[in-house]
Amino acid sequence: MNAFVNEVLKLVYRRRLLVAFLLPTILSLGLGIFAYSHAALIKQSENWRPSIQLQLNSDEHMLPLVPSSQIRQAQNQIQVLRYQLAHNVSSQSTGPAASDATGISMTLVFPLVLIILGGDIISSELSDGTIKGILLRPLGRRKIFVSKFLAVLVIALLIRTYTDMLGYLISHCLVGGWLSFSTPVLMGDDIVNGMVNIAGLHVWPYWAFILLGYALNAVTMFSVSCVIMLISTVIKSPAMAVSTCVITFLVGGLLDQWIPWDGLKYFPMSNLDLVAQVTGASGAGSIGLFASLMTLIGFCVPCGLLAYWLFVRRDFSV
Amino acid sequence: MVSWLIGYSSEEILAYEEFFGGATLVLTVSDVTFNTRERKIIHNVSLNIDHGECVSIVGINGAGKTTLLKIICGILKPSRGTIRISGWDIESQEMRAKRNLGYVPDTSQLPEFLTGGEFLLLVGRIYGIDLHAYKQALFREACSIGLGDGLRKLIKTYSLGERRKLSILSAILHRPSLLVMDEPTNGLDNSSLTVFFDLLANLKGEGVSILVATHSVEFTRTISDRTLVMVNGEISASNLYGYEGAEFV
Repeated sequence: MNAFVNEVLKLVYRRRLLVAFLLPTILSLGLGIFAYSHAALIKQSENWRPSIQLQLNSDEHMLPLVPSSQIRQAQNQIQVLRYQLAHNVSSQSTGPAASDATGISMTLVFPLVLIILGGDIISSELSDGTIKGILLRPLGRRKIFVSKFLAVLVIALLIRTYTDMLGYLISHCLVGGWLSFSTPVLMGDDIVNGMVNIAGLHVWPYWAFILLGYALNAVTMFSVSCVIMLISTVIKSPAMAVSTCVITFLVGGLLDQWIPWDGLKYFPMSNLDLVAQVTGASGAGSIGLFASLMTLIGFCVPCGLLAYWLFVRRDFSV
Repeated sequence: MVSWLIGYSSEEILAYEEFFGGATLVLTVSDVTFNTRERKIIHNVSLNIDHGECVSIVGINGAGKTTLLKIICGILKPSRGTIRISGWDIESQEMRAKRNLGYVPDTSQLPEFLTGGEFLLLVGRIYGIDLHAYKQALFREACSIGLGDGLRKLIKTYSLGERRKLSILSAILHRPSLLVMDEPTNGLDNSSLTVFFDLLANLKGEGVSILVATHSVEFTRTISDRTLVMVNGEISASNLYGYEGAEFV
C-alpha cells in the first residue's frame, strides 16, 4: 500500500495529475455537453417522431447518391431510424449520442491521459538512474511494478469517473432538467455481413447503459495501461517512450479512418471504443463486443505480462 | 528454540540465533568473488563488521571498492560467496537484509522533480516511518548537517554537497544496522566535513555499523576503527593508515 501511495504522490509532485485532469475536462467535457444536451433536448421534445421521420425520409431519398464506400453505413442508419419509429424509442439521442462522446474520448483523450500518467513512469527512472535507489529499499521488484501499474490505472479510472459525472452534471444544468435514469437507450451490436440485424436491436435503461459503459471503458483503460507499461519498460528514453505510446494509440486508433482496409477492424487499437460495439455506433466496422474484447485483451494483457517479466528480470546495475 | 519462533523457517531461526545469540556481527562477507566475462574483479573477499564499528576500505581507482560495496548491498550478484546483513542473507532474504541496510552511492541519483522534504517523505513511507510524527526530529537532523532550508527546495536546484547530504539523510532515516557509503566526503566543504564526522560518530554511538569506501585519509584517521586496503580485487592488509604511500597510488 505504501508503495502504491508513493507512486501516486510522485505523479502528484510531477504535476502530471493536474494536466491529466485538465485534458479530459476541456476536451471530453466539451463533447459531453454537446452530446448530452442534444440527447436531453430530443427527450424534452414531446413531438420527436416527425423529426425522426423527416430524417428517415431524407436518408432514404439521399441513399442513391451516397458513395459506395459509405452505403452500408447509410443503410444501417436507415434501419436504426425505422426501428426507433416502430418501437417508439426516441433515444437516437441518449445511447449513440452519449457513446459518440465517450467513444471519441476513449479513442483519443483517455489514451492520452494514460500516456501523460504512465508513458514514462518506468523509463524516466531508468534514464535518470533513480530506479537503482528504489531497488536498494526493501521493496520487491514485483511490488514496485504492480504499484506503478495500479497508480496509473486507478488515477485514470478516477479521472474517467470525474469526467463522466461532470459532463452529466453540466450538460443537464445547461439544458435544464435531469435526464431520467430510466430513459431508454437503443442498443445493437448484431452485425451480419456488415449490416445491422434489426432483430438484434434492443432497448436498455439509461442506468444500465452507464454502468456497462463504465465497465467497458475500465477494460479499455486496463488494456491501454498494459501496453504503456511495456513501452515504458522497454524504452529507456522518456521522450522516446512517450512518443512511441502516442504513435501506438493515437495514430493506431485513427488508422481505420484513414485506410479503407477491412482487416483493420481486427487491429487492437481500432477496438478501444468498446461501447460503440454495444450501441452499434461502430457501424460496418463492428466485429461484435466479444470479438472486440478478445482482440483488445488478447493483445494487451500479454504485453502487460511481458512488461512485468522484463521489469522483474532486467539488470539495473549498469 | 524459543516458543514464539515457531512458524519461522529454519533459515530465519538460524539468522535470528546468529544475530541475537551471542554473535554481534552486523555484516558477514564470506569468500565473495565477482567475475565478468573479461576479468576477475573481486577475488575471495571475506569481511566481518561488528556492532557500532566503522570500517574503511581504501585503495587506488579500479581496485574494486565500489564493486564490493554494490555486491554487499545486493545491487550486483556475486559469482560466488555469501553476504549476510544482521544475519539475513542479501540474496535469499533480500527484503529483511535491506531493512537493515542504508546505502549512500558515489553518485547521488535523486529524483529531480521532488523537494528534499518530499523525497524523504517517500523514503520514510517505504520503511513505514510516520514522518509527520518524526518531522521535528528530522528537521533538526537536517539542520544539524546544514540542510534545514534545503528540504523545501527542489532537488534539481541542489549543489553537489547538498545532494550528498540528502543522500546520507535518506540512508539513515530508518536507522539501519549497517550504513554503507561510497566516497561520502566528495563534494563536502570543510565545515560540512566536521558536521558529517560528528554525525557518523553519533551513529556509531547509537550502534550503527559503518562501511565506507574512501580516499580520504582524514576520514580513516578520524572515524574509522579499522582500515582495509584493497588491491586488484583482494583485501591485502588492514590497519594501514598510511595507505596513500607510493606502492598504492
